[in-house]
Amino acid sequence: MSRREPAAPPGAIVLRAALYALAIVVLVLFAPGDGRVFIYQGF
Amino acid sequence: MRNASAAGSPLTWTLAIAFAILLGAAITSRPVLWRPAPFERTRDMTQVVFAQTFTAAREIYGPPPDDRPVAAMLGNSRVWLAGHDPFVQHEVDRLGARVRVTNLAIFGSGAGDFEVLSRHLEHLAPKTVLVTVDGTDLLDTPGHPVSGLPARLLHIGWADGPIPPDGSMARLDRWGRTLWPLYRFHEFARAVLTDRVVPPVEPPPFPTHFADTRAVFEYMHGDRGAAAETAYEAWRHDPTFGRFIDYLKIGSSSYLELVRDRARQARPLRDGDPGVRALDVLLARLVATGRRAAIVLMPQNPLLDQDPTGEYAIPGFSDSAAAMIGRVAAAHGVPVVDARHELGSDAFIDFDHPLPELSGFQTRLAQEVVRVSS
Repeated sequence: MSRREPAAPPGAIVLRAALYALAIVVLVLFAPGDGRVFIYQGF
Repeated sequence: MRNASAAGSPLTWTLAIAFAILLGAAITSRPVLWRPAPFERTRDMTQVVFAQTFTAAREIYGPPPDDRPVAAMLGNSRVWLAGHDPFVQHEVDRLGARVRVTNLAIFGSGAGDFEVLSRHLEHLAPKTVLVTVDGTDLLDTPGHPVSGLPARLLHIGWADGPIPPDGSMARLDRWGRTLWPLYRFHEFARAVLTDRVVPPVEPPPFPTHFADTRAVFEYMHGDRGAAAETAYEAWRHDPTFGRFIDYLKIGSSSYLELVRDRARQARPLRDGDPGVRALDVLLARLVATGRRAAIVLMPQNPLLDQDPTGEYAIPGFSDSAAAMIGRVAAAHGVPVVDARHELGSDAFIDFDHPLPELSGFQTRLAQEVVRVSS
């Protein structure tokens, strides 16, 4: 006999989803990649 | 209990992904990411390639200033300087053509970079594309890689291109950039964010007019400009190869090293070389997408023919490379404009770069833009 967990209110779901989305975007923005440094010696 | 159920709910994660996509779309939108950024004007040679790659991307993804048909120029520092947009646009306007010129050149880029950049051109939809090359742009040597930072920053596409990725992580990175514009432009977005939060001291823009060589040297070499001008004038009075090297040693010693390395490491181009494959794919794409394309073989300083020791020149390379480029272009029906011998040595800053504006090469480029566009 398992008891069903009560559904989370819509506000809590939206707030948590927004926080997750922000975290995902920050992680992507600061993901490793090619930075600015690339020494050009052509002059 | 309720919070725990919201945390793990599939609905929460579905919404989170939707929000992240929306937030990413907002960050990479025209008004946010693709406005001119102060760092684009950097004079710092460690950052200039990144900055110019952003500028090229901004020209492609940013809002068009008007509805004129676009003529894009691909290339590197040779055409970045000699074909600076305002110089060429002025000449195109003088010829009465209704065409907007945009220069997508990036310092140090090679055929692999041009090819990767061309994958984004559908967003700009240029009517005309001038591919400006020198044979050495197809070389792939340690000192002269066929693709570099621009190709890594702008790498998109599901299938491997003419230059295979350097391992599975590079392929994964390319798929990520293809799938999600926020990841594609995350380095740019980070730089733009940094610039907006801590605005740098904005250097002046590249001049739209150079009165004389002194102005060029002052812009390029700063404090050493006057010394470079004196050495340049000494060469003008005694126009020998040795005097020209003496002049280049003043402001461009790293450039001399680059040219020496290039001469040492170069070998004749062959079918199947990465640079040749990249040019082939680039031209195929331009033709397949209905662009009017032409190749311009960029001017070379005739002084190189007088190199007494062969330290800087690559004997026979220019002609054999031009023949190879001609064969690749002919396979796609793309015309080749051979401008290699069109300028005298006094039209050059060094062995590779025509003087901005003062060389007059912008007129030649404008003629080709108009000819190919009409």
